[in-house]
Amino acid sequence: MSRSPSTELLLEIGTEELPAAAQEPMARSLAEGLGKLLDAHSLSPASIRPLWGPRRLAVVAAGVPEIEPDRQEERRGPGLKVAFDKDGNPTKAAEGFARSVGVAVEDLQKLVNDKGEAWLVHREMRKGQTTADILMEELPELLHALPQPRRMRWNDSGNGFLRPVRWLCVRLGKATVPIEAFGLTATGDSAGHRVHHPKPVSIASVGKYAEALAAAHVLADPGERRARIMAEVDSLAESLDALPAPPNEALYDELAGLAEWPVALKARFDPGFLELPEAVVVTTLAHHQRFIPLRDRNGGLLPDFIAIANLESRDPEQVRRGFARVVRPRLEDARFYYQRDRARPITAYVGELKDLQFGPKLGTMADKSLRLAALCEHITRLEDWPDGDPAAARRAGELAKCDLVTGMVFEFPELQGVMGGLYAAASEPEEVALAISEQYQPAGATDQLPGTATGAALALADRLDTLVGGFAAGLAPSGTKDPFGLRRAAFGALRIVNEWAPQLDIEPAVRYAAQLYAADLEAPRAVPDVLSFLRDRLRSLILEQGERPDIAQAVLAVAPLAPGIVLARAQALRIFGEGPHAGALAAANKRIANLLRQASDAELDSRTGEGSAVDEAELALSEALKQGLPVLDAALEERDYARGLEALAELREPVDRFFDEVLVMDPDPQIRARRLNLLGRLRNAFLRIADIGELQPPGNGTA
Amino acid sequence: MPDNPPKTFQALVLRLRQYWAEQGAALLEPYDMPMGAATFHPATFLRALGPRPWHAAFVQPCRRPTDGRYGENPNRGQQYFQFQVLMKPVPDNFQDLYLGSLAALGLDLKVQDVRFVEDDWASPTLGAWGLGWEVWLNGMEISQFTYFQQVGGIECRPVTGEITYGLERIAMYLQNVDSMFDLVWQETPAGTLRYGDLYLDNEREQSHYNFELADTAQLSAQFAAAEHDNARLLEEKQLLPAYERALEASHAFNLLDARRALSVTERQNHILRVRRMATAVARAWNAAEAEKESTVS
Repeated sequence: MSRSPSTELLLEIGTEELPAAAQEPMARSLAEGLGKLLDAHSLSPASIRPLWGPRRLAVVAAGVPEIEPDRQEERRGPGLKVAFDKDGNPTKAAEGFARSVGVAVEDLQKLVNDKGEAWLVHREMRKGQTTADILMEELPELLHALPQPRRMRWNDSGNGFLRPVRWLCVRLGKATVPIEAFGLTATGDSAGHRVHHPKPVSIASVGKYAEALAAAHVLADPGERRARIMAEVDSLAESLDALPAPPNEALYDELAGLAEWPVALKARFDPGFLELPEAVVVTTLAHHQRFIPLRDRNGGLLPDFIAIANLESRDPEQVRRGFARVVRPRLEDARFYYQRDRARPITAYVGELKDLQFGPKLGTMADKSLRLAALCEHITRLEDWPDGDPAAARRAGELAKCDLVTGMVFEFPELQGVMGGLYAAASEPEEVALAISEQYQPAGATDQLPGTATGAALALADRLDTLVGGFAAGLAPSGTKDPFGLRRAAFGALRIVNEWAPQLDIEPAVRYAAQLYAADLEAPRAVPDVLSFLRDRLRSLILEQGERPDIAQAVLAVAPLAPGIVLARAQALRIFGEGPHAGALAAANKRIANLLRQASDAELDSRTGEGSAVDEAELALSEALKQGLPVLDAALEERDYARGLEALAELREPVDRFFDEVLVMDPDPQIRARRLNLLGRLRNAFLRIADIGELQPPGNGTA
Repeated sequence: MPDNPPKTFQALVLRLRQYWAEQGAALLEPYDMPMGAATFHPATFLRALGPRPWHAAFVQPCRRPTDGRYGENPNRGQQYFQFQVLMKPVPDNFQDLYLGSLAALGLDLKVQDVRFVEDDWASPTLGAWGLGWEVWLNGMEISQFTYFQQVGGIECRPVTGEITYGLERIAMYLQNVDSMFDLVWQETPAGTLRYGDLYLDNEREQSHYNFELADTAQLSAQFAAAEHDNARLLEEKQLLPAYERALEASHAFNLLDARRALSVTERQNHILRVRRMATAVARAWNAAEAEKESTVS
């Protein structure tokens, strides 16, 4: 099939300022939607690329055919039995169908499938539409249906958009495609920077889109804006002999979403504020103002910072003064709270925790603190937990939530934990203060984990308490909703355990956490849900580490809720799966599981199964198992799952032979029971590592 | 500094009134009851409902008892002034009109970095929400810009656009002072009259009252009485007096909150009760508006 001449396509939605975080996902869904639209008409472009910024979402596609290929369309009508009466005359059904497709009955054809069933069918060569016509017809719906975090209305058209849409620019080659959406008609013009170029920007050709916008002081490519910001920040920092210290790299993404024409400026706050804890200053600068803090070569925070403007100001000094000035009241407020909070020791705040709710039906933060103290101590005493001082752990739990009722955390909620640690340091042992400051780690999927054992115990206790309480109070996540942040809590708990006590089985700790809640919540009833939720998150964690779904399934079917054990078994199983015996042993396990499922309890009773084998193959398997078990025991004792699986792989030959030569379901009940019993013991040996029967034959997995 | 900026606080207000009058806004006066924000003014809360167009601008003194700092914080007070602009239906060039108002204040947009930064607005006590931005002038929030989506639990059709200027902030910037109490209010024949001359004592005394002296038993009784009256007046179909009772209750609640007289649950409960009063008025008002519209057409 020859392709029609191809061209380039530009789709740009011009808006009022879009929230920074929404720009990228929306532009990507727009590109994906446009790609699907084109694919559906056999108009797949050679390349397609989303672009985004504060005032626009755009897609640029190259190599878009100008005309849809012609295609044969087939419409199936009634079955022949219905279409014609016994005399072979067309029925009303046949006539109706013919009318609906605009031909006479005799012009219809017959369609017969391989079962011999037959229908009337209408076949027609459909002339391909022009791409422009297709876009005219289908683009508006795509734009209106674009997924977005929220929608708002500003006029009566459509069902709204994240922010008001003010222009549409659709270009196909040199032509404008005047689609209509949001009460607007698309033109071939884009718009420039609000201040530097408050006029339409004519896009002469799609390939010149970015160039035309750059001339109008708009960088269309978010990557280019980010790179410019980072380069300017680096060079300004360099000029101060300083290093940029953004609290995270995402700040640069946000900044790239806040300026169409980013320009970096350095500014300075009163060095007197450096007496405040660094976290307070950094939060004020970065979180509240999106400024980039600077550190000197020794890591000390500087009173200088860098701000990103969306303007090449005619008088940058005025802008700089403004930036410098805006920090002041916030830091002054912070200083006020910092001084006032520290006038009392952290223990003085315990009494106020009873006025702060933890969650619906879940009591107050005072209740939570009591539970945390008990649970944190309990975790520290667990056999698989690294050494820690149980008394310090209890104390850390008692005081963990005190900072929530301080003025500073009321004003700067993101400093929870950090402030508690700072305030505790004045009167508590360092171990306690550190643990308090680490309790919210890890905050996100890639975030830092607690650095001390007591901090890890407190962080784990906090999450388990939240999980149990959340499920018991009916706040389980559903779909995209997770009002109590339980997914994050579960991932956090698993990551903490994997790092600090990989062999620890979380289940008993979860049960203990449930008992700590007030009886009327009936928290123990929620434990099974919490455990299966944790197990599901553990599965995601295994998959994230690159293991196959069938391996995760095989391990999770039998392993305790201990991230370290599960991950180690999964790795060993992957290697085993690549070996020569996996396929046969997986099949054997599946077969054994089926046989055992069909067997009666009496047959599986070990006493019935007593008696020595006479058959040679049966005897060989029994012997091999007897020799393998001690090796398996020793390997498992050392948690060396690879060696354990090697021991089991030794059984492959006798197992194969057994199934070749022996009839398990022997008519003699005595013999049948004995053989089933042998298979039962064999299967149990495998199940001590994983349910090998879940393994997929090679090539069938998703790896 | 900006070209020809208004040199006094009152000149700033006059300049904004002049500008928005030229855009067709009716210049209204402040409402004569305490309220936490200009959104509570019936010219905002009620007029945002129903189909009738509405263009208005006014100054509203706002009281937020918990923000009091005894006059010791140069940037915060328990009372401050908002300049409020409302346009229904919201014009397509509302953002440009706003930027025009900054230019009218002598702020050269080729010099000053002005940004619209996401800030979605919701008022649980008014059952209202909207999407929009806080507007940054060189990093400082000087205005709120909102497209109302719902008020009193009712969808806004057509949509009202709301701009709220924080007058003290803008004046401090224009006059280049670091404390709102140093702002020049007016040059009088007797000399310079400053914001502090007018309001510093007020901040000190009202902070004492709000945090320490307000009679909580009496406030609770006022809240209950207002709630009772609100229901009674609604039955009598006297909507504006009924709405004023909701304002009274809201202010009593704010004072109780400043006195820390409410537990967390009680606090939530009071917010819900104010919302119930306000939304009940909103529903009745909206129905009456719709009826007026149908009689006219």
